[in-house]
Amino acid sequence: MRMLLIMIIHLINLLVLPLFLVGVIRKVKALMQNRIGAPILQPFYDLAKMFRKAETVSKTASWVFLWAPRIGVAVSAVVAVLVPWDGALLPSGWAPATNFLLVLYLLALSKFFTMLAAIDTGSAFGGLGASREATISMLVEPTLVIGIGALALGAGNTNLLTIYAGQANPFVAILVGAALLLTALAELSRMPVDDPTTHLELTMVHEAMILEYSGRSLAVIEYASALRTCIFLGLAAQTLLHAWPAYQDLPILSRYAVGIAGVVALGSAVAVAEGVLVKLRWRSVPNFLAFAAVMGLLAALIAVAQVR
Amino acid sequence: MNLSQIDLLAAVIAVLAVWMCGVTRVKTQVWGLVLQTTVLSGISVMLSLAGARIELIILAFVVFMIKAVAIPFFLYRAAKRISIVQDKGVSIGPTLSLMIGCGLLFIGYFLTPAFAVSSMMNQVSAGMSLALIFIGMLLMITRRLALSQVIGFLTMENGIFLYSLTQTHHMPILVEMGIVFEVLIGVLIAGVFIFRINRSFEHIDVTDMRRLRH
Amino acid sequence: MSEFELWGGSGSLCGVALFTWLAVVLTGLLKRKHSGLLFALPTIIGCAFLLSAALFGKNSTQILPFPLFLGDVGFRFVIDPLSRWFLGIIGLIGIPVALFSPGYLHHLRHRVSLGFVWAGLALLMISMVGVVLAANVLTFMVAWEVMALSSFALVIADHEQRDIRRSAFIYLGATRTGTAFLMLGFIWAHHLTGSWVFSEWGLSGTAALVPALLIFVGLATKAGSWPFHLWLPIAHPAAPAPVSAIMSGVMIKTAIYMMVRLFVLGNHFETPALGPILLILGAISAFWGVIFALLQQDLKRLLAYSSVENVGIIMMGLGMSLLGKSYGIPILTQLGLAAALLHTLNHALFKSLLFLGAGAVDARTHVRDLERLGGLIHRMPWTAGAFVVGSAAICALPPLNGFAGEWMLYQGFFGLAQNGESVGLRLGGLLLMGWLALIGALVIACFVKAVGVVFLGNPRSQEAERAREAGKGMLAAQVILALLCIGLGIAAPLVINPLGRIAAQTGSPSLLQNTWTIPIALLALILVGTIGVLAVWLRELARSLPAKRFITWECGFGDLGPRTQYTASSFAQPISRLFGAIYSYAVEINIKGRNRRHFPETVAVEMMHEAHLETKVYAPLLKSIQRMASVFLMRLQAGSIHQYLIYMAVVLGVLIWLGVSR
Repeated sequence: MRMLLIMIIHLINLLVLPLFLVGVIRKVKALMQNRIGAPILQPFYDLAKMFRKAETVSKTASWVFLWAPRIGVAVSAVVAVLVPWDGALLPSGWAPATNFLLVLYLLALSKFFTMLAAIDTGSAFGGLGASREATISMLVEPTLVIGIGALALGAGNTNLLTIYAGQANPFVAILVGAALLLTALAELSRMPVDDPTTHLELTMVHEAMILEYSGRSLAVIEYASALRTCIFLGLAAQTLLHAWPAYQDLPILSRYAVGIAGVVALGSAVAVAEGVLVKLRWRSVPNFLAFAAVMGLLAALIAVAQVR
Repeated sequence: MNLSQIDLLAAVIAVLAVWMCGVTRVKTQVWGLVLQTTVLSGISVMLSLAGARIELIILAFVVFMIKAVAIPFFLYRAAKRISIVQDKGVSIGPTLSLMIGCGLLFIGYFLTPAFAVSSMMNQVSAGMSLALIFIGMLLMITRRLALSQVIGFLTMENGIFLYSLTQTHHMPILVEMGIVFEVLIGVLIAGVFIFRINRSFEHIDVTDMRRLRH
Repeated sequence: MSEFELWGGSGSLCGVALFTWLAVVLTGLLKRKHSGLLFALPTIIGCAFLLSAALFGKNSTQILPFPLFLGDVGFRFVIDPLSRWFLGIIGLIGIPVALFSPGYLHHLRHRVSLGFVWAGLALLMISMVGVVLAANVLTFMVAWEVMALSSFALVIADHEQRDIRRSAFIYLGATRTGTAFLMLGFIWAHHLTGSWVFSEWGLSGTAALVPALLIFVGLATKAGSWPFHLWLPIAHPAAPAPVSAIMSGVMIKTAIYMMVRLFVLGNHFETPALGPILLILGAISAFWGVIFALLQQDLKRLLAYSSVENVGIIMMGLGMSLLGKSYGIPILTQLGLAAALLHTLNHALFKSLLFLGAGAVDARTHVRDLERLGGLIHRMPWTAGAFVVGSAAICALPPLNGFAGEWMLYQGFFGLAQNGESVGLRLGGLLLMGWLALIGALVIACFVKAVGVVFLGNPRSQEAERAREAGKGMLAAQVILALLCIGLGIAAPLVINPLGRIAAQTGSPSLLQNTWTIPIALLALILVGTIGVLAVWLRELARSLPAKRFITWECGFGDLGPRTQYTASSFAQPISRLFGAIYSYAVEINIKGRNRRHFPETVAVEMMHEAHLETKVYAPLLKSIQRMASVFLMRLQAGSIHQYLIYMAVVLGVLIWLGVSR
């Protein structure tokens, strides 16, 4: 019964929170820029509008272009169900399916097809976006693996469910949480790595990859992007919350409430950063991500020294 | 690994130094130096309270005033006067410098069993001080602007000071204060020279100084 | 002494396979110009027998009877779970290659003698089986040399091209050097133990170090590990595509087989130095291979460098296994070995698939240069689909087969991080996980580049535009391999059993049953189901508003042509620049015109890189050896008969003295 409640709330979060979070981020950014901004529920309306529109597909495109958004959203949805990004205490029988390497490589699967779809249209912008996305992915993956590996070392297990259901060393949790936040900025194509609202193609990374998409496929891609925002910010929030020892002992609803509040808080922090920071020159992006890598390495040292 | 609070603070100083390796803006580096020295003075204060040695408090105060207030203020003003914003480093960029700095911290950690320290702390502080010395040297070697090299030198000084704090038979207090004042004078003189060099050559890029040979 | 088992067991099944292939060899040498079907069928039948030997046979040891001895050493064969694993790989890859070759060789039929190629192929298969079954030095060296010579003959099949001849000779030189080290190591080991049989060797400590290192150098040269890998990107692209597939997929792995048999299983060479050496060289090879693969503009050279990378990953697994052995952590030993062997099988499958795909593209377009391909997905849809599956598999994306092997390697490193004795070892385990992740991301970049530039976008040349789909045999081979990749990925737990039996050979009972916990089949089902539901729903929506087809967005400039697309080198440029210091990456841009800035007329961009290992280490070394040899030889061969007679007299005197003083 308790497990049913947990799963129902988790599913509701999955359906409601992604687009809501995107709305919150945009609203906070607008407030930072002294505007009123669109209503918080605007992404829902946008998605409904896009689903009602027809698509224009390039003549050069093939089945890769058409299927990449579907693969992307399916993978993101499956990962969002399995990963406890909102504080869900999912059944421990699911733990093997939440192995963090499996999750990272599933996300890489969706990235693989998105990059192929970008090149599929035969436009230079797609190639630009795909090439930069490949570089950013290369800079981010080792940090993710080492950071979450350090957390896993504390829990003795590489399954995310087991990691987030147990205690963690506060230093490791804070360092890894900060590293996850910085890499989330890179993965989600947020400032200072990439400006999601730019019109200049030469400054785009993620937007350049989806430049050719329109109508229904674009709606699907936007939803997948919202899901990924929730997943990454949720993981970062959960990791940071694990530095607080009392978090583990909270009852279900409080745990969910604090988890969701954490995700929304991190989203707002991202929006504030977007208002304050300037987009980095492309050549300075590795420098920025190196800080995240060093945080991951320090967390690894502490975690390794803790194992006795 | 049971870290005493002092070891924790020593680790924080080392992490700050590693962070400074990746920062290119000179003003941010100066702030990093301020933070480092503040924490160092804090360690000194804590040690004196634990062992009831009054002279360490005086030393902490002197170090703080000179290396966390006077010198950074001087450097900050110098940076503003010669309009320097960024220092991109000489042979290795900030990314690689950051990775090497982290590696030096690891080396410092792995060398901890090699040190003998006073009973009040674990050996981690000594290892961190060694890491700090190496990172200071790294900053001095890889930076292009004379100002950043001075900051690297001061980081190395912090490492030496931290090491001296970990030893049971510490140096006489007057020697310590003498060293700190000497550092102050040295930085002042370096600052004066930096102004004059900048006035003559319009920049303080040390790689171009090699042309003075001909 | 003559335990000759003729019937029953894997031995006889292998024997039948070998005889079938021998028939192909003889037919090939006799009928040079025949069509491929006559040769393909017996090859496939032989492979099928080999597969059944691998899957269903029993273990045995056999020694060929007295007349077939050399001196007082006989030919000795052993079949145990490890050899059966590799027999399975040989048989499994042989079938698609045999299906592919008739169609492919058809386009080479004017330059290449068909029967000769088939004979070489069958001889190569026979010798590989011999290597994998060898139980003593004699059998091994005979099979090894036949393998080297037959692969050389295959590489030089298209011998009328000068660069192919040159590549083949470089390959021959490299394999001879490796074999020399190997032979030296074997002779040293024989000197220390007095036996030629592998299973009777039991050296340890410093005595074991030198022969182990010599043998390792010889095997690493064959496997293509850094720093002995330089011949691989030269030889593999020069060979015809099915031969490259066999060489990259299977032949390299025979060296891995020997490493496992000599260093990991049993206690033949007990030195603690081997584990770290294997691990470090493997890690460097993996990184080196993939960053050089990113630089390549020739599709087959890219795949060859990728083989170097995968051999590096396999060696990392073996290194970890040896570390587990020297530190006494049995789960590490078994996980490392299982990961290495699983990756061997997976790599054989997807690398052959990729090479066959490259061969199909080559056969239809006669172009291997990435900068002149493109848009082939519309013209060769099945080849493109199979190549995408192969690329996804090599990037270790779930639920395909590459993921299982790399996951086990990750788990092994995590086990090192948990159970290592010192903080340094544990940190090393976590750092190795990060290193593997870095390599994985680089592989994804490399293969997105390969697939994207070859198959997607617009065709960049006439040849690419006029390509048509490959023939049925070629397609069938690729589709079979693609299905195997998907199948082995979803059915990963099935492979754990045979791996467990091999792991038990390391001394302790198998601990592998509980390591693979991921419900990959269920996940794959859920993923496919979700995509299916989504696709159906989107199609329902599309009924009222169908999609329009229009040109790609070009900022209003009009049709820009295929030259404005991203090229392979531009795709790799950000990453190549990041690692540019390793190979002196430089981009030279030459703009000519009335006014270079405002009215450019010609723009030339050249990307340059230099493999320092080749130019600063190997080239001077080879040149000095050549010079020494020619100078020394010139003095020896003065041309004077008197000098030669004096040589003969001196040697005769030395021999008489040696014989008398015995």
